[in-house]
Amino acid sequence: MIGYLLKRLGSAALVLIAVSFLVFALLDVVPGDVAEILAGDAASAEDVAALRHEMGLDLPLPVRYLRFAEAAILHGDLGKSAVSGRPVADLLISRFGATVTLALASLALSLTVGTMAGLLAAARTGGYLDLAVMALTTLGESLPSFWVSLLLIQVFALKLGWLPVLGAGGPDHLVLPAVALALPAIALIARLVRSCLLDVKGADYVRTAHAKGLSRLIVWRDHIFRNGILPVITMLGLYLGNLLGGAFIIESIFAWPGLGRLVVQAIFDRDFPVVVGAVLLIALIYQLINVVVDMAHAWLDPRVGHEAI
Amino acid sequence: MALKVDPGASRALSQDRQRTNVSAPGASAQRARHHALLRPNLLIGGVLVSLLILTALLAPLLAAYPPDQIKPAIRLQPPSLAHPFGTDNFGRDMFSRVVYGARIALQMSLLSVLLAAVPGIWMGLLAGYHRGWGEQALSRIMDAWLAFPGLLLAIVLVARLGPSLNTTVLALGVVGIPSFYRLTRGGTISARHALYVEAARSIGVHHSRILLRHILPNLASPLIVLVTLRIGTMLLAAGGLSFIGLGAQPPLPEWGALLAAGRDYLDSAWWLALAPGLAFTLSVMGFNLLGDGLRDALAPDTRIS
Repeated sequence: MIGYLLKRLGSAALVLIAVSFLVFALLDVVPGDVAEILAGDAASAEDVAALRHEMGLDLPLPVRYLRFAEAAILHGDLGKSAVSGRPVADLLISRFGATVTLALASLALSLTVGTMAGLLAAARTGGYLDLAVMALTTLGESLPSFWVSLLLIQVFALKLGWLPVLGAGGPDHLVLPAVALALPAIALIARLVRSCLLDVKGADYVRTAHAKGLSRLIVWRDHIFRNGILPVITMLGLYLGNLLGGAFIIESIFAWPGLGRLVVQAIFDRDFPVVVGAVLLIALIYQLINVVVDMAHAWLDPRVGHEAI
Repeated sequence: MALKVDPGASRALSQDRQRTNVSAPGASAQRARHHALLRPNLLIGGVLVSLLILTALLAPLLAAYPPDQIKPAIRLQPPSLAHPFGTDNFGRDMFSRVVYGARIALQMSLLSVLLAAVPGIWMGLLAGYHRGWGEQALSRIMDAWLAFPGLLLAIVLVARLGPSLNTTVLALGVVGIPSFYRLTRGGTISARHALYVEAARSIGVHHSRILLRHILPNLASPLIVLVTLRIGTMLLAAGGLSFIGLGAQPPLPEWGALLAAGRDYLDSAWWLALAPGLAFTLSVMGFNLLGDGLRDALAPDTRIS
C-alpha cells in the first residue's frame, strides 16, 4: 500500500513538472512582455531593458523555469500579477475558498441526487422509472450548463426574485451556480451508478446471496452497492477535479469570485503570471485528488494495489 | 497501473480495460430488453443530426434574411410570423442567425474532432503495432495529458494564441488527442496477433498496409462511436468557450456567442436566450443518442453496461 502510494505520488510529481514546464513555456514567450506592461507606456527602451534584467526575463527559458520552480516550491512565490502588481500567490489564496465552496456544494448535490436516481433506475430495470431516469440523464448530458445558468437566472432571480443574480455573499448566492454546475454531474453519476449496479446485479455471488435467504436490503447494500460503486468513486474524483478546474464558465456567468473567473479575467487582461499560477494550482489539486482516488480504490478493492506493485 | 478514466472516452471504453461484467442468465435477458429500449436512440439521434446537417447545408434557403442584416427600426421584437425567434438588439433576425449558427457549430465540432482523431489514431496505430520504448514514452505522455483537466489546457492555448474561432478549434483538437490514441492503441495491441494479421504478415504484406488496410478497418466501429460522442462534447465545449468570450467572437452567429449577447436582455427579451440554447441542446442530444445507438449496434463489446 505504501509502495503504491509512493509510486502514485511520484507519477503525480512527474505530471506536474511536465505540465508546469509546458504551461510556463507556452505562456512565457508572449508578444505583450510582462516588463513592458509593468513599466508602462511612458518608459524608455532602457527602462524596459533594465526591468527585464531585474526580473530575469533576459535569461534563457529553462533557466527562468528553474528559477520560477525554485521560488514556487521553496517560498510559495509565483511571481507578481502583470496588471495589479500583487503577488500571484495572494490572489490565488483569496480566490481559492470560493472555488472549493462551490465545488463541494455541487459535488454533494450531484452525488446525492445522482446516486439516488441511478439506484432507483437499477432497481427497476426496464420499468417506467428506469426509462424516466434514462431520458432525464440524456437530457441532462445534452443541456449546455451555460444555457441552464441563464434560464435559472431568468426564472429564479429575475422573475421570481427568490435568489440573487450574481456575486457571492450569503448561502443564497451559492444555490444557482451550484445547481448549474451539478446538473451535468447528476446525469453522469446517475447513468454510471445505474450501469455499474446492473453489471453487478447479475453476478453469481449476488445470486448466491439471494439464495442464502439474505434480505433484499442486505444484498443491495453489502453485495451489489459496495461492489458496483467502485467505478463511481474513480469517476467522482475526476469529477471533483473538473468541478475545481472546469468551473470557469459557471463562475464567469455568476460572477462567482473563484479561481476559474480569475483565470478567465487574467486571459482577457493578458496577465500571464496569474494564468500560470492559477493553472498550476488547479493542476496540483487535480493530481492530489487523483492520488486520493487511486488510494481509495486500492483500499476498497485490494486487487488494485497488488497489481500495481 | 494507476486507474484513470478519461471522461471523453469512458462511454466508448477501450478494449484494454478489463470488463467486470459477469454473464449470468439474467444479464442476457436484461441486455435484450436493454437493446429494445435503446433502439429509439439511433432513430431520434439520427433524425436530430440529419436536421442539423440539413439546416447547415440549406441555411441560405431557410433563412429569410441575411444573418447580419442590421435594422435598428425593428430591434428587440418578440417572436412573430415574420421573425419566428424575434429580433436582437441590432434588429437582426434571430431565426436566420440561429440557422447560420448551425454551420459554425458543425464546422467547429467536426474540425476539432478531426484534429484530435487523425493524429491520435495515427500514433495509436504505430504505438500499438510496434510497441517498444517509443510506445512506452508516448503512452506516458498521453497519460499525463489525460491527467490534466482538458478544458484548462484548451484555455491555456486560447490564452497563448488569442481568442478566436480557429484557436478554439485548434485547442479543443489538441486536447482530444489522447482519447483517440488510447482507444486505437488498445485495439491495435489486441489485433496485432490476430489470425488475419498473422496471415497478412506471412504473405509479406508491408507493415503500413497491414495497419491501414487490415487493422484500422477492424477498429472502425469503436472509433466511429467515439467520433460521434466527441462531436457532441466538442459542441458543448466550443459553445462554452464562445459564451465566456474565449471562442468565436460576436459578429459571428455562433450559438454560444448568441447566448452571451442575449444575457444582457434576460429581463426584457427572453427570446434571445431561448432559440440558441434549444439548438445547442437538440444538436448535442442528437450526437449523444446517435453515438449510444451506434455503440449498441456496431460495438456492443465496448459498452459499459
